[in-house]
Amino acid sequence: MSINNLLSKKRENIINKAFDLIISTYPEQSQIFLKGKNKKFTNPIGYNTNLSVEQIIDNIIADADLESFLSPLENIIQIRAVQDFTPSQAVGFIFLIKKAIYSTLHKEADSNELMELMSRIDSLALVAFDIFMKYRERIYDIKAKELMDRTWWLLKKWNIVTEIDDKILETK
Amino acid sequence: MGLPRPEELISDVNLKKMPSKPWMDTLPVEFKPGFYCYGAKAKNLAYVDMPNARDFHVTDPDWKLPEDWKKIVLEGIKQRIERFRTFHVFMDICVRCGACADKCHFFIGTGDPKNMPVLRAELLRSVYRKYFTSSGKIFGRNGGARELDLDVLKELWYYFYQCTECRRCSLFCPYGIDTAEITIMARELLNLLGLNTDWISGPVANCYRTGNHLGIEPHTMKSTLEFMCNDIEDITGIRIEPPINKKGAEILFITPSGDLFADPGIYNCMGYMMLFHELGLDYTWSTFACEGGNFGFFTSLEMAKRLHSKIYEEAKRLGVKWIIGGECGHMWRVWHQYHDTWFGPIDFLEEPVSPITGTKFEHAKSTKIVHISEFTADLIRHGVLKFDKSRNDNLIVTFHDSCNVSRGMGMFEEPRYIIKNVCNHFYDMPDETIREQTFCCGSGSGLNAGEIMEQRMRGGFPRANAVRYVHEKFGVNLLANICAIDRAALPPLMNYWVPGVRVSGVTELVANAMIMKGEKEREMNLRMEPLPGKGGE
Repeated sequence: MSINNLLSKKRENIINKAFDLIISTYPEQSQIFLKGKNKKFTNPIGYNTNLSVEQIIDNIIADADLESFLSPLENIIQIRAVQDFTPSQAVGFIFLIKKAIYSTLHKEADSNELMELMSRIDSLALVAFDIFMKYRERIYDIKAKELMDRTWWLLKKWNIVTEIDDKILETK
Repeated sequence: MGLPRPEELISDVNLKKMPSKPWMDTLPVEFKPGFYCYGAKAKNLAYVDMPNARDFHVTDPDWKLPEDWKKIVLEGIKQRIERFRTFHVFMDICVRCGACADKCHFFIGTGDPKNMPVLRAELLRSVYRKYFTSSGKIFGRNGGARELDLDVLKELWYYFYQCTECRRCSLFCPYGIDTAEITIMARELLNLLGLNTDWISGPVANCYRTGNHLGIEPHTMKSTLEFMCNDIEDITGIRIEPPINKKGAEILFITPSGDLFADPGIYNCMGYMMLFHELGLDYTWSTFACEGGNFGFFTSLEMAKRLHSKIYEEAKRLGVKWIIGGECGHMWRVWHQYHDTWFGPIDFLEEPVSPITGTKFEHAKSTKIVHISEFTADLIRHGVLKFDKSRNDNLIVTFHDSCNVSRGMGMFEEPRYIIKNVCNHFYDMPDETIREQTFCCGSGSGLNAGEIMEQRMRGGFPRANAVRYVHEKFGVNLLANICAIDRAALPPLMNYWVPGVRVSGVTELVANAMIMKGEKEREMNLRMEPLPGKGGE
């Protein structure tokens, strides 16, 4: 059986394992709550993490291109980028997905095929780092913009700063 | 091999299924950037006579506490137990059923168990048990009691400044325990030692000195309102002269100072002035009582009362009949839940009656203040105002119920009624995230500081998650609200989680759509962007 067929057959098992592993990076007393994956609005961490893991596994099964992994990766990383994690902890869940796949398939799958798949999943870790940085940079932008929103209007009104307006441009 | 496996790096405790530590053993708290507000400054504490005024840096091991700090806290608890029956009851009756545990936006967004309301309260309850209950004195730790030491004090500070006093948890408590009240008491105790934050104590001192949190002085306030009127004239062709400190006016108008200053509150402020001008309302601004919000409320009840009193002093001085209050959150909680306890019914003002519609606002018989949304909804109900809703056709709107106005005051319908009358496209968020179950913006009760942006983002995640749903499903691009903290806190929250959704007050939408007598053909909205069909989308 090809590795994709195996993956497909064990889909549920892998998703559940990967989801549980990712949730286990949160404090133990909170895990029971966070595992409630169907509460879309009252447990957004659990819901979004599970949904994204499902999409990632389905994309792997479907041999989808890198582009299609971006949205589910963003969904998880956007959350973890502002939580109590180091950068490596925030993006390292990719290795937990690998662990879930490996531990489920390693007895049945062809070892070369499995190695190849594991290696390809590593690319997601690289992309995950890019996404993590995108959201960290967004935080810095937001901090700067918040200051602008609180002050810029007044600076303009008090003629402390002047912008080029359209009329000036027309007469240039 | 010496190198760890990646998964071991990610979490060295949980993945190995080590037994987790009991919560009492997870001290000391680690103060990481993004998780805590900066400490209060000496000058701001001293200006309002707060104890132990000194510059206080959270990450310094020495918090420069008075030598007898422990005695001060325990004495403080004793006084408050005797004074506030609620506090005493809330310390005793929790059965730890867990109904509140998963209701806090900070817990939902962080997964930190000490953000569960039950455990947050337990941080203080454990100290209470140790010193004030027989079971705690005898059984100690086995009875859920613990000694108050410096690490415990720091933990109290850390977690009670991670509660926005939104009261969502209290909605689900079978005993009606109000965790916000516990937070209020805990903050009072911390303030006995000068343990406030810069973001709260600065506005308190400013408000005491200049009458508003931002320190806007009278001449600046006047100029700022005039700047806004210049913009209104550019947009509508109508010149408005805002009445300021006008003695004998019928109505005093009070709004949070955020509306005078920051984007997008300023557009709401323009909206107030346009509405009052159109009605020909006999009202006045005050440069003395120019703050509806009350950061004293995040410090101590005495401080809240002290700052609140200026509004009625000014109402008396100006000789107005009653008061209209702008779109603010905790300002209304203070009025609705505390004002009467502090001052009782106000006897020198008149029961509010709309001079336009004749409606008696009977619910305001005691406080003599009417919410701008109640006032506006009444105008619309009586057909007083004319609207061109198509001016807001580029907006697909949803409404965020501010915690204090919804849970703290019970106002759900008026703002929705107004929005539906001035906008063609309105969609509510899912039921479990609005009205009395609304999720907090994550920045209330003085937590709107820039240095805790990460904390605000994760605390606001449940709210943003619901906005994202209506954004994706209905194309919602505007998050309306009636709270100045929301207008400051939600734009960054949206920029992080749901880019493409902007934030506005409700009165801004009213003023955009309102057809004013003698106005020129409008080309722009209040943000000076082209209207739909006038070069706008």
